[in-house]
Amino acid sequence: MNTSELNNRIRLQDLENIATGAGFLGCGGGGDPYIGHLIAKAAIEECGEPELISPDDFDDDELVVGCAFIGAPSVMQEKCISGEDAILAIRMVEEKLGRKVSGIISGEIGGLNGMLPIGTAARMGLPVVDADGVGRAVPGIDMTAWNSAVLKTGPIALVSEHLDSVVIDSDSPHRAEDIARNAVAAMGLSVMSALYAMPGRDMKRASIPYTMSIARGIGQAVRANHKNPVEDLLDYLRQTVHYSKCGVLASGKVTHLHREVKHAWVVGDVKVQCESGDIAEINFQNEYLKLEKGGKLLATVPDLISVIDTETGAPIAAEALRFGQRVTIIGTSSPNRLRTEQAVSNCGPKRFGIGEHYLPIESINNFTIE
Amino acid sequence: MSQSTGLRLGIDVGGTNTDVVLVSGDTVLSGFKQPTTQDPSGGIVAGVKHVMAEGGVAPSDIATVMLGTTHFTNAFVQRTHLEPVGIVRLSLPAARGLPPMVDWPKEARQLVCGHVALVQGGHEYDGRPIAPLDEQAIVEAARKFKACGIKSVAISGIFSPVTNVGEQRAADILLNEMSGEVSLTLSSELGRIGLIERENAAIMNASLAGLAKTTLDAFTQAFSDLGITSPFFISQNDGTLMSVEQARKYPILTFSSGPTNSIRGASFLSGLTDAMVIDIGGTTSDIGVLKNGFPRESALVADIGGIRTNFRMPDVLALGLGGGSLVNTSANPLSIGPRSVGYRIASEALVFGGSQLTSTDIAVAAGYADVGDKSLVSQLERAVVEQGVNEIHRILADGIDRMKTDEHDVPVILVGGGSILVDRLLNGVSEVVLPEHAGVANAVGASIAMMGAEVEKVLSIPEGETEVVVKALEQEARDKVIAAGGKPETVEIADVEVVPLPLMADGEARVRVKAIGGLNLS
Repeated sequence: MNTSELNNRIRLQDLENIATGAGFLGCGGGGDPYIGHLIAKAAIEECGEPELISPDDFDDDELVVGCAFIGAPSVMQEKCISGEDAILAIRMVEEKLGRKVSGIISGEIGGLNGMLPIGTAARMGLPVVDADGVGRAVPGIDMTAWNSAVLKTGPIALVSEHLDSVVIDSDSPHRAEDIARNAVAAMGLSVMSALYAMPGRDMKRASIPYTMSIARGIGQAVRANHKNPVEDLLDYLRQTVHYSKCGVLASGKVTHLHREVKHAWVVGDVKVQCESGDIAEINFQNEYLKLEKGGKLLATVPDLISVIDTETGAPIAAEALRFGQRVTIIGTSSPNRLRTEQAVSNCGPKRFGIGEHYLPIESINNFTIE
Repeated sequence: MSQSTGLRLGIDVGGTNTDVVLVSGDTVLSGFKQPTTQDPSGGIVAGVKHVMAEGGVAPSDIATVMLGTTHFTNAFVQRTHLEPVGIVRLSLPAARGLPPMVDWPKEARQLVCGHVALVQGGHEYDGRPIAPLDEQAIVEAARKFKACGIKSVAISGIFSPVTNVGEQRAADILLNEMSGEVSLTLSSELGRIGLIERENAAIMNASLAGLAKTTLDAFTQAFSDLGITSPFFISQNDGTLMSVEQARKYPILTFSSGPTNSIRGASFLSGLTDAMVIDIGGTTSDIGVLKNGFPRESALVADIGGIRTNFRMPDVLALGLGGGSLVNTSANPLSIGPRSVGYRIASEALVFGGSQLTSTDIAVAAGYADVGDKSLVSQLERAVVEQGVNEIHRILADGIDRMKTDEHDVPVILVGGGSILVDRLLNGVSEVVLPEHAGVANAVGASIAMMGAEVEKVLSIPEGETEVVVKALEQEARDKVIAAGGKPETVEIADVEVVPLPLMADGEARVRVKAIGGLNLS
């Protein structure tokens, strides 16, 4: 046992900060972390604080399993969670594989799913691995870094509030995603899943490390009150391993907003009138995908585009955008594991039909600090 | 006195002052402001007598009384007069992981949480039941509530804004089992998707049931003692009215009527429908946005007394500048606020013989405000006065700019006692309007409120049929307004919001429609 176990736990007072960080890393999508926050709080109050284990300290041969909500966030807002559903999903994967899991990892740190493993881990007495499958939020299971590293989704267990369950076994993450989508609709649009069960060595090779700690650090920075939320946030991001190339890409007021549903995603665009006189425009599909200012491209997926409240630093989801909001648009580099050729083809601009080539954010913007 | 028929009394019972206005058509005949009394009906009686005497009208000339109050908001925030609540949630097997009141501050939870019953029931997003309603469990809950002496119960159910049959059935069972001796709050009556937030609102409301009854009974008695027999309405959050019976059941619907009435009153007094409204008090300036005659609502989740609800509140920006704000001359450049002498301005400001330099002193020294003794500020340095005046206007202009949605200059309406601080056009402002009776804008806002109703549903909309679906909901909202006392020919649709839902089949959307109409006084 390593010594960090005693002093590295996810504490009740961390939850608000992790929720803010998960909101920021959600890049506009991923669902409101608030419900996830409450679920984690209720579970910790009942069962104690779960251990947060570094991926480096996780045994190569032990099994870790991903945990994620799949469905419509607005249905989640009503049905919340049963508490046993995620546990049952993990048990079903264990049963299918004939092995016990030793840790739980977030499928995506961005949004609601950043919070969900915490409550489940607390209830099961398992550690949360300080890492996730994508380092942000993405709209599909098949867009994770795990998938890009050609890990198998493995058996995907889906469990509804009735504890009705479906196990999907497929070689193809794309077909798995299709089947899951249909099953989720039939199950009431709010299910807990266990997926990407993998040995520690694969988890280390394919995951985005330290993102749970980073989410917490983002929340702490936004509330730090050193300079102002935006500056404090950037100071913190510059010290992180994945998001260090970062800066304010635009700041101003929301003056145009268009949202609609296409292929079951919320798509649209938002325009921000900048103080400089330029118009910044973001296209979104659940998440913020592309930012242009004054007609010039400034950022695309897989790099992170996040919209925050200029005054408070609170992240603003695409669903929560409103006319007249004062917002600051922050862009950051994406983790290297989202920038491999395979990853860019999985979750880069071409996948979303917003451009042929991916240009890393730091090659378009000057992020040097004066 | 035929010209006096159709007179309206507008009353605002605030935490500090009780204002009463007498209004005929578009004219404010008389206004009166005085401190709110311990028993709020005392102040109402005194104010009403005053304006009726001044207007020379008899109680029988009053056609309707409209009253706005922050009494229930203050009670909840200060946690006074709250009662223990029984909670029935129709959700099992879903939502077990998040019990009711999970996000409440501990002291509020201890005060309000009587007994919780999680019951099998609730609905899917399309209205199908999640599981059959467990009626026996509700009967058992009712017995438990009775045994605990609980007299107010909140009922919540998953997707009850889509269909309220479950909550209604639970209410029937509770009424039957508790022999009618219970106040019930149905979360579906408080609308909006988001179980925890809607349930929170229902519990908050239920905790005020006893206070609502005694307060509104006292108000009703006060009007009866005054000989006023005309209908009496209460203003609610969105600037529309509800009946006393409705307010007795849903006091929470008054929670943000204060700022709403101030913004609506400013609109009425100035004749403007689109403008910024600055309400300058002793400690803060509250800037609101008037859009089509109604306040712009905040996009943020409303936190009331530390508890999250999904109520829409008027989007108000509070700046730390009021008539009593302290001026700090040791800073360079000089700064004003947010510290304030508040209501002690009448003894502590220089012009009133005190020793504190306040923003009011600056306005008097600059020669444009006329309160107190001007000679007491005559020795102030000219540079300090000039910088102070600039700072006052800079703070307000900055606030206006933060609330604007585009670059165009906007008209500004000033209300509240601190409006004497402003003497010139602000940056980004096309005109500054200081209407007559600006000091009692809240009561005026109450006097002009309309009837309103809202319908919110999650629906599957076939391609190209959005309009048809929205039309049907519009009709439902119109019918609700008329049922509540709206004049049919004046009812119009105030707001339509269609929010598509991700990961559902194409066409699933949350649709919200709001209708308003004038009061049917015949």
